[in-house]
Parts: sequence; C-alpha cells; structure tokens
Amino acid sequence: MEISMIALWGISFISLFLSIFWLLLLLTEEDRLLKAKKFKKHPKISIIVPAHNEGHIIKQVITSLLNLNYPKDKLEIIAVNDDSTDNTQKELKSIKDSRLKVIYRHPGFIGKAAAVNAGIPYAAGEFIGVLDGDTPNISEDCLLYMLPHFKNPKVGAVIGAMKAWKPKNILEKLQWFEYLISTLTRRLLAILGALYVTPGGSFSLFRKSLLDKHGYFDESSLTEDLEMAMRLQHLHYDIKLELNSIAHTKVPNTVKAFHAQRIRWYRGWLQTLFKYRDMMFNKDYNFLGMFQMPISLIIPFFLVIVALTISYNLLKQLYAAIVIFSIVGMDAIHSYLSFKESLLFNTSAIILPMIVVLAIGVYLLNKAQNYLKESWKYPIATIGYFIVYQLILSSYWIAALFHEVKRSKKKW
Amino acid sequence: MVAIKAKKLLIVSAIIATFIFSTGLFLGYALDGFRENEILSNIKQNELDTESFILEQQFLDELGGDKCEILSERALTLQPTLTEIGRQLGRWQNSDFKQDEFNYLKRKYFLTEIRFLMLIETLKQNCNSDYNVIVFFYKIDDDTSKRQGYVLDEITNQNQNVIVLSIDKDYTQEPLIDILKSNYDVIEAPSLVINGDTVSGFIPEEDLIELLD
Repeated sequence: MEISMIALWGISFISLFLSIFWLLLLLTEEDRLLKAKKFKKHPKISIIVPAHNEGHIIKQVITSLLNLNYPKDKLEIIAVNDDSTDNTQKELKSIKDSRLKVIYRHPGFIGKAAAVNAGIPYAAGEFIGVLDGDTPNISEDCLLYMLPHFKNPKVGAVIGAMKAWKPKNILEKLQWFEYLISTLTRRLLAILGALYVTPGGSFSLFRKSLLDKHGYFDESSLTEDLEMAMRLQHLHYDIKLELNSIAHTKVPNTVKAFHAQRIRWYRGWLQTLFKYRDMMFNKDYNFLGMFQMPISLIIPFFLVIVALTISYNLLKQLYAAIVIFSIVGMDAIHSYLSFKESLLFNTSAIILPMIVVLAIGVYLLNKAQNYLKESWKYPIATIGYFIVYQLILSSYWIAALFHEVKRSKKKW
Repeated sequence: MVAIKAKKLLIVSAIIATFIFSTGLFLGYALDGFRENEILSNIKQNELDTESFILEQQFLDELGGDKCEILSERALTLQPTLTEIGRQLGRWQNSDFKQDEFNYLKRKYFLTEIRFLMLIETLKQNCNSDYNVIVFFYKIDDDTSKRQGYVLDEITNQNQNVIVLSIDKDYTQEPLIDILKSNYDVIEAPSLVINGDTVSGFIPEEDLIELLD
C-alpha cells in the first residue's frame, strides 16, 4: 500500500475526529451558548479606536460607539489617529461629543499596537475596550451583554462575535463564512477555557488592572491581539466570547490585501506560539496546551498534503479524459464513467468520512448563522468555502512558516 | 471540571470517528468482495463456454458437417465476456484489499486468454476464417499503453472480426506469458502482435486499420 494512501486515511480520520468533537461540544452545550446574564452595575468603560487612514469609515465607527446603550457619564471613546494622511483627522474633529477624545500621533506611523498603547494612559475606565478603526457597526447592547462575564474575577477579557462588513466580491463572501464559523468555534473554545484571540475587529474588552499590571500590547508582535490573549491565558486568566455582541468589520477585498493579512496573521501566530511554547503539552493549560496549540500547528500540514493529493489526482483524471477524448471522441464517456466509478469504489474508506465531515460542517455553519441571526446566502461562496477555502488558508499557513524559518536562519 | 469534560468528549469523538472510519473500510472491503465474485462468475461462465465449444468441435469432427460456419459463430460469442473480465480487472487494479485474490484472478484471466488464442489459431488454420487476432502486450500505469488500449477498444467496437487479447508484459507469475513473449519477440510495451506479426510502440487508429487490411 502506498504512503500517500495511508496519509490520506490519516487525514480523513483526523478531520472526522475533529468535526465530531466540535459537533458533540456544540450539542452538549447548546443551551448555554446564547444565555445572557444581567448586570446591574455600570462600571466606567474606555474604548480605544486606533485609526490609520480610515477617513472613509471612521465617522461611522465612532458614531456606532457613541450610540451604545450605556450611561453617558460612564463611557468614553479615545480615537488614536496614527499619522493618517487622509481626512481621518478632519472626520474625527467633525464629531461633536464630549465623550470623544482624539489623540493625533504625527509625524511617524507607529502601528496598531503602539496606537492602542498610546491611548491607554488617557483611559479612565475600569475596563478598556479595543475596536478596530475599520469596524463600522457594533450591536447597541454589546456592553450590557459583555460586562457580566467580568463578575468572575478570573475573566481577563471578553470578546464579541465578528462578521464581515457588507461582503460584495467572492473573496469577501468567503471570509463571511469563515468569520461565522470561526466565531462559533471560538465560542466553543471559550467553553473549554481555551480561547486564545482578542481581536479588535470583533470588539474586545479587557480588565484595565491586568493591563497595568502585566503590560500593554506587545508592539513588536505582528498580531498584538493574539499575543495579548495568549499572555492572559499564560497567566491563567480566562477569555470569554459573548455571541449577543456582534461587530461588523471590513475584510480585505483584494487578493493582495488578503495575502498580506494572512501571512501577517499566521506569522504572528507562529511567533506567539514560540513565545509561549512552555504552554505546549503543558498539563496546567488543559485543552489549550494539550490539544489546541499542537493541533493548530499540525492541521495545515495535513490540509496541504490533502490539497496536493487531490489536485494531483484531478489533474491525472483530467489528462486521462483529454487523452481518451482526443483518441476516440464522444464514445469516451463510457470509459470515463467507469474510471470515475473505480475512483469512488476504491476509496470508500476516505469518501465516507469526508461526507460525514462535510455534513457536520454544513450543520455547524447553519448553527452559526442561527446564533448570529443570519440566513443562508451566497451559494457559490458556500461551495467555495467548503471545497477550496480551507486549502487556500493552509497554503498561506505553510508560506508563513517558510517565512519564519528563513527569518530565524538569517538571525543565526 | 472543564478538563474532564474535554477529555470525555475527545474520547467519545475518537470512538465515533473510529466507528465511521471502520464502516468506510468495511464498505471498501465488501465492495472488493463483490467485485471479486463478479469477475469470478464471469470467468467460470467463460470456462464453461470454452469447454462446451471444445466439445462441440470434437463432436462435429466425429460426425462431419459444415463445422466451420458454426464454430466461427461460437468463437465470436466468447470474445465479449473476455473483454468484460479484462475491463473489470483493470478497474480493480488499484484496490486496497485482496491483492492475493486479485493476482489469482489475473493469472486465471491470462490463461483463459491464451487458451482462447489457441482455439482461434486452430480455427483459422482449419477453416480459413478471416479473424484478425491482436495480442496486446501492455504495461500497468503506462500512459502510452493506456492510449493504445483506448484505440483497441474503439477498433473492436467498430469491427466484428477483430479479436483483442491483452496481456500484462511484466506479469511474472505465469511462465506461459514468457513463452508467448519470446515466441513473438516482444520486448517493450505497448506491443501489438497482429495476426502473428509483432509491431512495437503506439499505433494510432488509422494506421492500425491499415495494418489490419
């Protein structure tokens, strides 16, 4: 038996195993996922919005924050204009509201982490919120839903759900599905105490005392939000996700921007994994250390092997089909069908698990849409999401890994 | 508590995944068994037909009469089953299971083919039949051999009197194949032995039709 066959078997088994795990977790915890608690107190909140050339959208971002359902005297918004060269400053200045403070960093672009850090000293709140400058829509009641989680002193941060803002082209629509599914899996990870992201795009709330004590955002990190979340996990603080708080964030709409974003994300994740490598296979970190961290490293490799095998087989089939057609014309359909039949017959050990995995994927996506009050749309992107998108993501992952290896070699 | 829950779920998931996965494996195994039976029953059918054909030949030898016409017709009815068995074996080639059974069936198939070849040769000598017999030596997983196979499929579909017998050039478990190879001077694949003459390399459809005429 060939090695590629065994690899394929292994992959189909692992993906089957993981899908079943997520499904079971969802089914056993379903009634808890949306449950919201009431919170009588209204602690002071400071929301920091880092912005670099967001003039076209920044007014919407700030307005949606000013419209939050929260006592006026308990809410402040700190917009940090990070050396924008467009009309961001003008737009910010045009908003007349005593709760908005604008910090203008000029000259010298400092990056998102540093921009947020620059805002923290001005913050008077007990909790610090971070919202990206390109996240123009956030649910009005989000603070009321998110804050109760902090009643538990072990909770260091709470994040909301994240959706793609008005997807138009196919790339944005693919990300639409990705964000729905990833919000659901993050919610499930939070149940296991293994949530390791606090993105500004989904609106994240932090306990200010923790930031004061353990440091602000890491300005050298490519993904300061991941780094902060892992730092909190490393210190044994918990991170929660509140599904009733929904933020819409702009997603890259060109291949180039998407490429840059993913390479940055995955490189950032690798750097963060390396930084907190003592958590890997460490029993103190339960599910995150023993399972989630290792699996996040391994899965992309498996997916890339699958991608290569499938495309090799498809190309081979295509070539065979072309050859048959060129020789015998339309009569080829018969031989071609028998060839396809043989492919199906020979690999039922792979086909059956894959059908189950796909069915679970569709079910989870449907659930995610229910929780986030969405219905099925974008049929072509749906198919694309299930068939090719994961493979594209994995290849970015591998590319990021090569980047990191090359970089570390240079250092040596 | 969370850790225990996660552990429990992981174990349950592993059990369910193993169950589904083994169902898939079992299904593959069962399908292979199903195919084995199908090929075997075709081979048995072919054996019976051949036996009956030989008997008929002897019978007609004893009694006299216009045996050539009857026998030529009979011989042609044996061809489709053989082709079908060859196709089934080809499809089964990359099966995950039952390699031994597969090898057994393959050897059996080659033997049946060679016996059929001998019958046809006798018939040609005794009755001046106008069959075109092509012995096709192929190589597994070789694209040129595959292309030649498609051409031959097409030729047999169009011409009633062309009989194609395909033989794996590299099959070593049957000594008869080596004898055939040295008899016909076959070294490479694909090679076609057309009415006793050996031609090596790929032959396109038009050239093959010309050669047959």
